[in-house]
Amino acid sequence: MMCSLFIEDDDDILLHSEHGVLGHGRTARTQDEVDPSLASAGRQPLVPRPGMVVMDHAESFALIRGGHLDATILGAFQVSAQGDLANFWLPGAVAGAIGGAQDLAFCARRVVVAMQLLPRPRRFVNRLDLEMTAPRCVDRLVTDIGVIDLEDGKAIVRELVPGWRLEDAQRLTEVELVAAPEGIAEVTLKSDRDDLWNAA
Amino acid sequence: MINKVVESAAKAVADIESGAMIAFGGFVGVPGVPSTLIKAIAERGLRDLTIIACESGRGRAGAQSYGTRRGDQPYIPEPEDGVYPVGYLAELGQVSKAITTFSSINNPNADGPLEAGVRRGDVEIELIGQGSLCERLRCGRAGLGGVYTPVGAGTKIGAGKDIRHFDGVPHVLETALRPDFAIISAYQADRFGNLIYRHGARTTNPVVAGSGKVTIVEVEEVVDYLDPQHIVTPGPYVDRIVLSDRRLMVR
Repeated sequence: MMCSLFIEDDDDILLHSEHGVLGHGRTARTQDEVDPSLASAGRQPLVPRPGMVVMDHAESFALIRGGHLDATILGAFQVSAQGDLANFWLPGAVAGAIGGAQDLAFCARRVVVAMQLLPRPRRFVNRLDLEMTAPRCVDRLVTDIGVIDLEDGKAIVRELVPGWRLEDAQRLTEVELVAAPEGIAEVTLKSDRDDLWNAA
Repeated sequence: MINKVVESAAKAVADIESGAMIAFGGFVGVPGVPSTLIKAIAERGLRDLTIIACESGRGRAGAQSYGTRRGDQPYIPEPEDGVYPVGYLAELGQVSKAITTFSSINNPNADGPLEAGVRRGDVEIELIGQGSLCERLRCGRAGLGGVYTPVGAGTKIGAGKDIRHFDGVPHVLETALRPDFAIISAYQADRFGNLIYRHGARTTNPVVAGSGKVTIVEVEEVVDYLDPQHIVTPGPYVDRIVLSDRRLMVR
C-alpha cells in the first residue's frame, strides 16, 4: 500500500483494492475529503478520481483470477529461488490469513514481493520451510537492500542501496545471487509525499 | 403489497437458531459490515454457529484497531464503538466453525477469538482465499454445484479437493456454499429488496446476497424509488430489510 505514495496523480496507473475499488485517487488529506464509504483495503480513506470503478468482491476477484491485472505487489514471510511464495501461515500458528493473496499470486501477470531481508534470517531461501501460498509465481523481490529478479531459477541482482556490494547482499541469503549483465544500479527513490512516507 | 421491511433487527433475526450456518457480507476495516444485524444475532445467545465471512479473525477490539494510525492522516469517521464485526460472535463463544479468509490476526504473541477457540479444541476453521470463497457463495446463489479454479492447487488450501486439468493447468473443485442465512449491508433499499451500495462498502455484500435460504439486509435508508439501471442486487435475492444503527451517509 505504501507503494501508492510513489505514484503521481496524473500517472494513469490504476490501483486495485481487492474489496472492489479500481482506479481510486490518493489518500484523503483533510477531513473534508473523507467519504465514510470509500477506503482502501487497509482502511486508508481515499478520494475518488475520474475513471474509478467500484465492484463487488466476486467481480474484483474475476479481474484478478482472469489475468486482467498487470501486476501485484505482495508482502511475504518467505520466498524461494524458484519464486515459490509463503505469506499466509506463520510457523506455530493454528490459523492463517490468506485473504486475497492466493488469487493474486496464482493469477496476476507479474508478482512483485516487497519484503525486508535484514531483520530476520531465512526470508529468501532455496526451499520454503513455510506453507506455500503459490508455486513459482514471484517475478521480483523489492527489498530493504535492493531489487532482485527471479528468472528461470536464477536470482539476478538489479539494484542495491548505496554502499552495498553483491557480496554484502549474498551474506543475507543462501540463494546464489548473480549480478545483472548490465551491472548493478544504485537504488533511487522518488516521492513528493515524503511527509507521508516519514509519518509511516 | 410486497414490503420486506421489518421493524427491528431483533425481529429480523428471531428465527435464527443454534447450529445455523450463516454467511456475512462485508470486510472488516472497511465500511459495509452488517454490524447492526451481527449485534442482534449475538444478543440471541446462540451456540454452534457456522460462520462464513471474508474476515472473522478479529473481535471487537481488533476491528477497532485494524489499520494503524499514521501521522496526521484523517481517518474514516466511523462510530467505532458501534462496530460489531463477525469475529464478535466468535469472541462470545457462539461459533463452532468458520469458513473464512482471515482466521488469524497474524500476531505470534496473541490469539484472535477463532485462534483461541482452535487451541481450546471447540472451533474448526476452514481457510480459503477470497476469490474462491466468493465463487462458492456465488454458486450457492446461482444454483451451481461448484467451480474449478486454478487457485490453491498444490497448496494446503487445495489439499484433499478434487483436481482436474484444463489446458494442462491443475484446477481445484470448490463446492457451493448454501448457508441457512445470508446477512448483508447496503446503502439503500426499496420495499422490493432491490439494493444499491456506496463506493467501497459494496465488498462481498452482493455476493453473499441470495446465497442463503433467507437473506437479511441492513440499509442506511429505505427509499420509494431506485433507478432500475443502477440496482446492484435484485430484490428476489432479499427477504428482509432493516434499518442500520450505523447510518454513515444518511443524516
